[in-house]
Amino acid sequence: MNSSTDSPLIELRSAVKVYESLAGSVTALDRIDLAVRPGEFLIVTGKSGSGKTTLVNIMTGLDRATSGEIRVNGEPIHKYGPERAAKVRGRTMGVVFQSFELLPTLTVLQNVMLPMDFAKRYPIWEQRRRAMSLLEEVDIADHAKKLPTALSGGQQQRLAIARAMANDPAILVADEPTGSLDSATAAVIMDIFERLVQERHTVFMVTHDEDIARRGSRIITLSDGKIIGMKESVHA
Amino acid sequence: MLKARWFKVINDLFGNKTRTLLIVLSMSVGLFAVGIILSARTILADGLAESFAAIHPSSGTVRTIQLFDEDFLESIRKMKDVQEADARRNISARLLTKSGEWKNLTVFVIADYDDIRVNKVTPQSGAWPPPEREILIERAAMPVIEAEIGDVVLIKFPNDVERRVRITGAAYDPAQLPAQIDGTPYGYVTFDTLEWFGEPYGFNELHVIAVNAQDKAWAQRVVNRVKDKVEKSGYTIPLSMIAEPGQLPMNDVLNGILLLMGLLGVLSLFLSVFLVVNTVSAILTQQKRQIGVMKAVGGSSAQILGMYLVMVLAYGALALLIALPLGVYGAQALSAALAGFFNFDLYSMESPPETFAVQIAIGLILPVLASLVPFVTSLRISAAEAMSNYSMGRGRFGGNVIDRLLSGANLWFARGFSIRSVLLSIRNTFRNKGRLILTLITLTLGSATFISVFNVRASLSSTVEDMIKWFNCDSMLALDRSYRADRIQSEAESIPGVVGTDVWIQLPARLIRDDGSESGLIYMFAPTVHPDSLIVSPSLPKEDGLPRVMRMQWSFPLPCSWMNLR
Repeated sequence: MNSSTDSPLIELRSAVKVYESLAGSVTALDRIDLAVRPGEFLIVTGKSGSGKTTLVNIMTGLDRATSGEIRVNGEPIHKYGPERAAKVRGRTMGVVFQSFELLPTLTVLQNVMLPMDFAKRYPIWEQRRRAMSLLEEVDIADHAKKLPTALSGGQQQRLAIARAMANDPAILVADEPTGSLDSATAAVIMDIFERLVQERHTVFMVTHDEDIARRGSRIITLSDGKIIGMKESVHA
Repeated sequence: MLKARWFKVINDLFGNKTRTLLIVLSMSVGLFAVGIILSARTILADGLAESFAAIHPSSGTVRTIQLFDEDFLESIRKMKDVQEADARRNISARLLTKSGEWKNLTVFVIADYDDIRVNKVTPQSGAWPPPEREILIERAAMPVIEAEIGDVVLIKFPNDVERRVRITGAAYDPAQLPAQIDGTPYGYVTFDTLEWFGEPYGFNELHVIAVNAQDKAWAQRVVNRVKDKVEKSGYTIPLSMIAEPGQLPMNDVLNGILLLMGLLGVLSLFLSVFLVVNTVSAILTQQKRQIGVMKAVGGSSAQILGMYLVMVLAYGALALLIALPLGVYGAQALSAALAGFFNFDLYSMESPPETFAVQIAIGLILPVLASLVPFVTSLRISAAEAMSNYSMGRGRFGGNVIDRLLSGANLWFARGFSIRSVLLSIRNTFRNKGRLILTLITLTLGSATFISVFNVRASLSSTVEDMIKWFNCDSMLALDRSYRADRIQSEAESIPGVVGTDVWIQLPARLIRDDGSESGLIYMFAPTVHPDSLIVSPSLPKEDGLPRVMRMQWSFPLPCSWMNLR
């Protein structure tokens, strides 16, 4: 694991996200300052509506912050449009969602190959080999030719992790990755994350589950869009 | 090896076969319509032109009352600026059909069937030239007279001579209006047969080709000079016609039909394009989340747009696979049917390459262009919104006048009724106004196509009914010469069953323009009937609608040339 003195992979400075609607303005994130350091397993926890998913969205460039700065690997993605942000995301981050978000008309193998195709980081013959290798890492290589709907929930999330790792990102961002899984399957997914961290990857994860949150190296608590607590875990 | 994104395109195309089939079929209909119209237009136009050129078409026809001979014909041939001239005898007769109906029959008498120089008649089947006391019938006239080659038909001539004549063969004469259109069949005999009919020898119809016949004004001047010579030679001209260069008689009718079909084709095409846009919008709504996911895993809008454009291209290509061969086959079938109906031969059934080029361009480019708007709109939203579980359109609904009008506050009058579910439906309808407009345009175009077809049909029926009102009689008799109106009406009304008669003067005339040139032939009707006549209801235009100066030129005054009986 890299030391905490390394420059942060993701850095948020006074990040604010306000949603406008006819009903009025809702501040989902309120002046968030946060740095995700290389090699750490940072878990953000909080109740439903605390702003966890909004945090994931703006730090990955899936959505734009209303104000503040967000830097990913030094790149100011808060200044970038969606296209440039998508390129940075494709190169730097892998994203895992609570509901897996797999493409139903692509096979397991093709789902993993798709981010590599978009990023153009690997030649096409290498994409297939690498995708199979990733599927082996998450233990679903036997299902490579199946459609995602033929997999169990745990297998689908493992596939989502393999897809997130497709372009060998500096950081894996996971939004409630165990939210749709039973506790046994959730434990398996967490084991994969821990293994990735041990393999010198950086993992940023949000969860509302306190027990799961304890497995992170650093835990941040979010409430009403504000960071109200931060502690280093005994695992750190 | 294919890239992963193209697997998604392929799987999306073939994963939902019903949707793909519907889109492809809807596109095919428009492309088929365009193909069939463009190809048929070319095939028919080429066929018409070639058929026309093959017959050595006349620039003009001059009919005479008195008969003329070969020497006079030769003198016409020697006239300056006359490229060629030929003559025929034209006799009006009647033929008794198998169903017992007397049909008008125009009999042409041709001197030398192997040396027809103008408006050539060619053999179709049977004997050629027709043997003595036998007749050839124009091929399109066979069904009209309910006869076949080998049948013997009874023909009655104006001189009251009746002859049983054997139909010895069929001839092809594209210079005449097809019998099923103008109702007059044509027959062809020799002068030997004419003698048997009790008619004297001689020609009464002169066909002239002017030098530089493609110049209509010039050709008309040449024909006018011919007419001057004919009249100065002591012949009376009851009728003359100037031909439209390069056009068979039914060219305008055919063009009208093709124009109507072309308009329907364009409407169908627009409809199919809007169907494509609608379907693409539906696909994008359905795949909104997937678009968000693709963006989330690093896909740029350009990459994703490329995927969906390729999908639309694939729809177009599949539609072309259906529409191109069907269009060729349909164009051939339509051309053959119309050529048969209008009685001309087609020399080639080949669809022009330009048609395929237009179809391919329309099939591939138009849907892509039409789909760009929904694509770009869908791709503009952020990945987070695309993947959001709450599809409330970022709270857009409720912000404008229409939305506020649909809110409960403005529906105070309906508060006593349970209309919540209705309101839900209405508000949902107006939630996405772009989609609503698109759907309305598609429905409007579909309805417009449907209504226009029926409107044209109703308009034609109404026009025909109006025309029939002019001649609200049971029988119309065209008389070969002038009669005193009171005498002939008295004769007719003495026949049991006749309850009323009208007499008309019908005169062929030409407008003389200010520059001295003459118009084409105009049939001038001079009704002598009372305005409240039950038989004829002329709706003449008001005086203001008439040309200010109309000098009519006709050849002889007739008190009555037309009688209507009821």
